[in-house]
Formats: sequence, C-alpha cells, structure tokens
Amino acid sequence: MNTSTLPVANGQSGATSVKIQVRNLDYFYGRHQALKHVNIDFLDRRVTTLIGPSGCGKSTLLRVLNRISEYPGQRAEGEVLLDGQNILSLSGDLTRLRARVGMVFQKPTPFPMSIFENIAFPIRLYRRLSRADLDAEVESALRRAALWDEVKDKLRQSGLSLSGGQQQRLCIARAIAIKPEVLLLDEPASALDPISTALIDDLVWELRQDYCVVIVTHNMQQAARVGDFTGFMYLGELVEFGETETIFSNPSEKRTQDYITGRFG
Amino acid sequence: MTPDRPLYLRRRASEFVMVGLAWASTLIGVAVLALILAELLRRGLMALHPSIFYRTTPAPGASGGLLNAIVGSLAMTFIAILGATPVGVLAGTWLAEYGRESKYAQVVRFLNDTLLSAPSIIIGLFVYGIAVRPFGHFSGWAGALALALIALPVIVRTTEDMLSLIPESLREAGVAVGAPRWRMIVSIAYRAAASGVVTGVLLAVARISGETAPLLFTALNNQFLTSGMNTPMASLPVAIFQFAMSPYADWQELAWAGALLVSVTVLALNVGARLLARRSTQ
Repeated sequence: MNTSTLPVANGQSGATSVKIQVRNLDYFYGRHQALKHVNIDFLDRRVTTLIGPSGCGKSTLLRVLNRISEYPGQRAEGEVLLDGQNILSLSGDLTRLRARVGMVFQKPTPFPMSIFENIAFPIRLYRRLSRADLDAEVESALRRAALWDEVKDKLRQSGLSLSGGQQQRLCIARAIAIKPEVLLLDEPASALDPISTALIDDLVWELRQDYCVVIVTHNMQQAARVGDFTGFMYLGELVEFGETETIFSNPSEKRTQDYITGRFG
Repeated sequence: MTPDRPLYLRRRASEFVMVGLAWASTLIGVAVLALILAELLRRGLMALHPSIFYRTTPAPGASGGLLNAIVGSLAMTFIAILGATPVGVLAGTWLAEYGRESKYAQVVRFLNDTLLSAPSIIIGLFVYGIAVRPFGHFSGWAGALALALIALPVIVRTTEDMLSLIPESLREAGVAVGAPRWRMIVSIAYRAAASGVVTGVLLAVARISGETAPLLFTALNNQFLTSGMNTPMASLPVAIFQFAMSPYADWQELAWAGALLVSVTVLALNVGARLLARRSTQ
C-alpha cells in the first residue's frame, strides 16, 4: 500500500494510507448523469465529509462506495478501488463488500426486533458465536456507539422504542458490530436534535481512530467539526477537495466560497 | 376582507344542505345494516340452543342441529387456508420484492386482481370441472379447493400491499449489513409486515366462511357427520341455503341459527384483523 505521512489535518497527525480511490467515476440514473468524472481519494483512519447543495450527487457518490444503489436503469462507469481492487467489477455476491463497507442512513433504520437482536443479527451473518461471546460483542458495539449505558437494562425491548438519536446510534453500533473497514454515513444527523447531533459528531471523531469514515452532510458546522478532509460537490462534479481547514477558510474556487458562506444551496 | 353578505349567506346555506344530505345517506346505509343485524340477532338467538352443536342436520320431519355443517365448514376452511396461505404469501412476496414493476409482475398482478373479483360461482364451476367430474363424486376436498382459490388472491394482494408499505431504507439497511436479499426478506421485511400479512389471512378466512355458490358445485351437502374429506360434505352456508328454502318452521329456525353463527364468526375475524392492523401501524 502506498503509505505516506500526510500533512497535519485538523490538528491531528499520523500515518495513513489511501483506502478508497475513485477514478473517473460517472453515474447515470437512466439518462440523467448524476456524477461527472469524479476523482477523489478517501484516506484510512481519516474523516472525509462531502458537502454541497441538494441534488449535487454527494449521496450518489456515497452509495456507489458499497454498491447499495443497485436498481434497474442505474449504472456506474469508471473505477472505485478499495485497497486496489475495483469494486465496480465485482459481480454476483456483494455481501462480502458490504461486510467491509458499512453504512448508516439518513433516517434511523432500526430493524423490527429487540435492541440486542439489532446488533446480534448482523454478527450472526458472519460468525457462529457462543452465547457469552455474542453478548460480549453486542456490549462492545453498543459501548463504542456510546449507547450501552442508556440501553443495558432494556436490551429485550424493541429497537423502535428508542428515541431518534438513540436509534441512530443503534444503527451506528449495528454497522460497526461487524467490524467493517470503511464506514459511510449519509446525513446521519439531519433528522436529529442538536444534542443528539453533537453526540454523533463526538462518536464519529472516536470512530476515525479505526475506520475510513465518509460523511455526507448538509450541516456546515458538522463538516467543519468532524472532517479531516472536505469535498465540495456541485451539479455532479467534485468542485474542490482538500483539508477541511483550507476549504472552509481559504477555498480556491468561488463556487465553494459562495456555498459555505451561504450565498446559495 | 369581509365577504359580501349575500355571497356568504348562500355559501352557508349550501353547506347546510350538503352536510344534511351526507348525514341522511349515512343514516340510510347504517339503518339497513342495523335492521339486518337486529333481525338476525333476534331470530338467531331464539333458535340457538345447545343441541345445535351436538346434533346433526335433521331428515325431513325430524329435528336436529348443525354439528355436521359446523364441522364441515371448519374442516374445509382450515384446509383451504392451509393450502392458500403459503402460495399466496410467496406470490405476494415475489410481486413486492422481486417482480416489482417488471412486465411479468404487472401481468401476474392484473390476473390476480381479476381472480380477486371473479364471481365465486365461476370458481365453483371450474373446480367442478377439474375435481368433481373426473372423480365422479362431490367431495370435501373439492370444496376446500374452491375455497382456497377464492382465498388465494386476497392473500396475494394483502401480502404484496403490506410488504410495499415497508420503507425502502429498511431494505437497504438490511442489505447494507451484508445480509443476502432472501435473508433480509425473511428476517426483516416479514417481521415488519407480519401483523399485516396475518390480517390478510384473517380477512381471507372471513371472505370464504360465507361462500355458498362454490360449495354447491363441489362439496354439495351431507346430512350426516362425515369421517373423511373424500365424501360430499355439509357446510354452514349450504345448510342455511337448504333450510331457509324449506317449508318447515323448525328447519327455518336452524337456518337462522346458522346465519347467526356465520355472521358472528365473520364479525369476530374482521374485528381481530382490525386490531392486528392497528397494532402494526403503531
């Protein structure tokens, strides 16, 4: 792997490597082209945020990274290299890709089962564990998602009984329970109140120690707070990409500046 | 601004008339239903006594109960639902999860809707052709088959509708943790839609427990309690039909008792289905 020491980002330094390389990616919904020749690198153990107005293609880009967008009439062209392997050329079984690239959605999506089962269900897809080991894995995932203390006494209750913010952390716990390498978050806090949003931001900052994290967000504050790197997208193009501090304080493109200062979008 | 007074008065007047008409039409509909139910309750309760449940249908001039008709209805309905549920749930699952908007799925959906509204006597005649004539005799099996064909499209339709109500994001979340599609359907989609699917099955039971026409051509009737499904079989709707048409007062009473039993059963099933559906939307 092409490991290199990268410039200090958001005051943090450390060795990292490129986890995902996107090369000349075009994406089509039928005739509409949603992504135009996108080139971007996502670094391991770093948080990259994608910002831009609605319909700019940022969610589309995110959804290509674990190929969750597999609907008739949609197609991707170009290359998406995960550790050097082009995931767009994978055919057939995609479950192993999804095991490596986890995802959390905009609206919390707890499964219609107990809190415990929400975490145990994905683990059981990959491992046959003893009861004690499974309990330990579930607890560890809930602890990492900063949810354990709130739910440890009601693990048998339905996941749907939790508040919105708790449901979203449950979904994050579920995503990291299977120990992916990449974590994709699609506007994870857009349906949440400010306190839950702050909790999620702190959580993302913790998760970056182990994962390559990619977040799509509409919230400038969130992007500035949690992102090591930020990409600004507009009309299907990646307009500008760089360290978060640079993008927010000294963007080189006028469109970026207009967007982050709230002149459009 | 303040509206012109004549304009305002005319609007108030037309509102008064239209709301009055709406109330009147509602009253007519409900009153008819209430009259039917009241008469059914009065006559049915008078006719209802314990021997209905342990004596079989009488020969002309004798007295009796409805035991064989009740057993026949329960047996044929049970077997019909047992056969129609797996087929209906799987077909509904295919339409909602795999076929979706494909040409083939649209054809299947259209045919299912046609079957849903097909007159039940046609289904009776069809089953007569394939399961009565070739064997040379009427049977409980043929009756159950006819009822199953009526229940099937109801179950297909409700299963598809209930699965379609599940948000796409829940399916994506299931696939995103690496579950294969079939596993996501079984473990997540079915759980989310479970009470709706059960509601559909209950409605199908309610629908077939009052069917008479298809049974006339298939199970026919039987004066005695039968030991197997391979003989002609009595059922409540056919017994009601037979006794209501008879000239004897005590037979007509049996028809009222049978009608009450069928109505109470259907009502209970509908209320149960509603309660389940309500629980699922909460």
